[in-house]
Amino acid sequence: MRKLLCVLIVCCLMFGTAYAAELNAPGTLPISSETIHFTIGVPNLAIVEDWETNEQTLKLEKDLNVDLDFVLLPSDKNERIQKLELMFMAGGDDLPDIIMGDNGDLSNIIRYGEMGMILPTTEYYKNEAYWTTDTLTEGGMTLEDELRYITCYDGEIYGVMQYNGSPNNCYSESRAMVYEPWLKQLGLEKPVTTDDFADMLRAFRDKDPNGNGEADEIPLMSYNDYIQRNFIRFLMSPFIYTQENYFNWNDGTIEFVANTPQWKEGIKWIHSLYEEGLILPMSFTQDRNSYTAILSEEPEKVGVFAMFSASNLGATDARRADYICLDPLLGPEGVRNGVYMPRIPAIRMMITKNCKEPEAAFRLGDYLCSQVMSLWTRYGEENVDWFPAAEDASGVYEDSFGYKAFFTVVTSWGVLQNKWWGVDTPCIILDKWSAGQAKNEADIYNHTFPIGRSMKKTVEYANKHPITGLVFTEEEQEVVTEYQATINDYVLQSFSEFVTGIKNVDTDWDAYVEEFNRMGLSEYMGAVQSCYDRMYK
Amino acid sequence: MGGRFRKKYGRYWQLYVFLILPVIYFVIFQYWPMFGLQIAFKKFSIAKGVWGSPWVGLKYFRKFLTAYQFRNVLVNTLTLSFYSLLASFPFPILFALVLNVIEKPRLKKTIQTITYMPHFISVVVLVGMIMQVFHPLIGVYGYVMRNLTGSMPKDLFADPQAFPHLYVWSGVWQNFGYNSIIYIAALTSVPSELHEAAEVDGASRFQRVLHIDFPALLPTITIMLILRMGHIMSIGFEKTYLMQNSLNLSKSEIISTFVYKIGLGSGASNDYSYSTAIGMFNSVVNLLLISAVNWVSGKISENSLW
Repeated sequence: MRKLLCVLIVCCLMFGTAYAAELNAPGTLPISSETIHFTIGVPNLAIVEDWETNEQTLKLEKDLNVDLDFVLLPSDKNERIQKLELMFMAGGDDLPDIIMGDNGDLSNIIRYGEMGMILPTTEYYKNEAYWTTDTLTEGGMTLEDELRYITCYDGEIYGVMQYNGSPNNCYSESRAMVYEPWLKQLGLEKPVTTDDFADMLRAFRDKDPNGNGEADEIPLMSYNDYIQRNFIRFLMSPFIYTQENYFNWNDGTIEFVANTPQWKEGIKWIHSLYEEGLILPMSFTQDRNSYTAILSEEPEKVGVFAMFSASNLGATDARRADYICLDPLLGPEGVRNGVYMPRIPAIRMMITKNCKEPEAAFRLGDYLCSQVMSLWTRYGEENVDWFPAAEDASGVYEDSFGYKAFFTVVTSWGVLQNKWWGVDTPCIILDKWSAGQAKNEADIYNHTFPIGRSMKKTVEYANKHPITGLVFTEEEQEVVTEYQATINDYVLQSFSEFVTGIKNVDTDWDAYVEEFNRMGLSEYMGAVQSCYDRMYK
Repeated sequence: MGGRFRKKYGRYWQLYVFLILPVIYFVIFQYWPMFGLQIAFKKFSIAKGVWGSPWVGLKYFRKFLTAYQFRNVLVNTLTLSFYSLLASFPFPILFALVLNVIEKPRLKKTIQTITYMPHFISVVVLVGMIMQVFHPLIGVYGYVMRNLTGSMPKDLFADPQAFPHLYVWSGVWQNFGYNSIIYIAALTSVPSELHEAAEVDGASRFQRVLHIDFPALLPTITIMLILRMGHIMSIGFEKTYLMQNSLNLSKSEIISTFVYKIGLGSGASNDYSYSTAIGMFNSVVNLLLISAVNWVSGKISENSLW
């Protein structure tokens, strides 16, 4: 009898532990009455002192009733991905329950899912993403819209998202900045048309705005890495929309812009600026150090530079706050636009096959996307590291975007600390927070203030159809990989050669256009178009 | 059987035991990974692993050889390599010979230390230095040329023709001191009686260098040359990549920078098969060259590596 009783009790106990932990309803804290244990693989970030004792870890453990152990992975992204892929190829038995961090884009992640190494979270996102939905609604976004960007082409979602909104950066890709004191001194307004812009550059060159009696002003400059970015985008956009990879949306068709007649007109205009001596020739070859050296010279030498900010100038250089954004220029055919690259969500947490409580793991990721935790992971604790803005405070970006002041941040970002995790883990940082800093008039070296007050027209004229977020299938990826680097290089090289006069725009143009066909342009654009159709039509 | 074995290896068995560890190292880290070379002939996918991936034969080699840029890239790689080899080879030897003649030990050591310090400058710093020095506006070159000619000098970094020279001679400056160490060491083994005897016979200093020091160095020179040939196709990635810009690309795009752009340009997942195929192509060419040079050297002099 006693023996039977023992056996019965043992059986009950066994069955009891065989079931997964009973979870509370989504949105209630803690996740469960039992303490659930997770091992999490995290990048060895330079800013986090100790993941185990970090205040954010402790708060999570308390709020959710979980116990977290951490495994440190390499901080360099490529090294980390290599290490993970080696673990996957070895069978994945020593993987931690959860892996956090930027471990590649969707084309990587879907392979890990196909191998069975990471688990899909599609089902969980249907009904259990309480905190994520709450934060997104606060920001005027919907879960359905944002999930599109993290769903792989097999229809599954393989992890937990992160959205790091940063409106200022979305508009920075075709930005050029001008030295405001020179405008004031010469009595000029910000240029509207391409002719106004050329006149302004000539005034910088001839009228000696730095007042030292020498014609040493440099009207426009950039440096080698940024020719293919801000320089080409700002100067070409009055003729045709120019973005990364030189795509343009035309009523559902993706076009390539670097072989069009408008491109030719643009090059002619820029070449004329170069011939007049308005562009520093070394812009095409100099590196960042030389660029910074010229920018920092006394007295100031540079009128306009094509870069996203004046942050290259030393932190104590007051001229940082004197460069303002130029508006997108109006071209001779009436074209006026700039680049707007929206931030899209990305996967920053994966649940591996070794996790015994995948649903609870999802709840953990979802809670990280709550308003409290998202703010904590980037800015810290309310009323300790940041304070809500006063009623009458004005926002840094209020003039340009209309975002009211939300908070004033006290604790610095980027230093070694033990309070938060940073932005390599799931979180949803809404645009209105990231652009919601209250203005602090005492901070005179802050280079974001002049950007914040001069971006209104940039926002107004930004192109409404940016082409980004393309997730290629394996076949499409093969085609794209083969052609994209060569084609983009050729566009850049030819642009530089046409502008500096090594090649002649009139006589060499046809050969230039013909070369694209030999490079396989039509195959390349075919793959891009089929990807776009599949994702967005 | 056992008797012959013992006779051959028995006497110096301790030395053979010493060898076991390095041999194991080579087997594990150099020979064993070679089995992974097969992915150059397969369409490798992580999901399927090395054994499960399907064979595609020479597809990736063909892809590389018919790539639009291939001919230009190959020519640039070979030009830079051979130019580099020809320019940088004589200087360490000449420098070692000259340094050897200096009597005062203090002076000798000081010169040696100064000349091999540049070797330790990292590539990034070196290229930064070159770019600043040769900047037409703010560099020493610009300043001097402007005072001499009165107008803004040519930007050397914008000129594809100037690229090989900038690349090679900065490398010579950086490395000749360090590379001369092995020759200086070889020269110390020259017995001083030879020099004394030659002096007595009336040989001038130059004749002594030519007939005593130089032949003493020949074996070392031959070996170093053969080894250098083995690196012809693997010319440095970092330095070229840093010195590239949109205007000198026609001469500055080499195999490794080309592969880098293909692999990372479209933000895609790593194409292990393609990069393995290119790496294998490089290694095979290197092997052919090193074998050829070794054979030639064996025929001409008596020195060869194997």
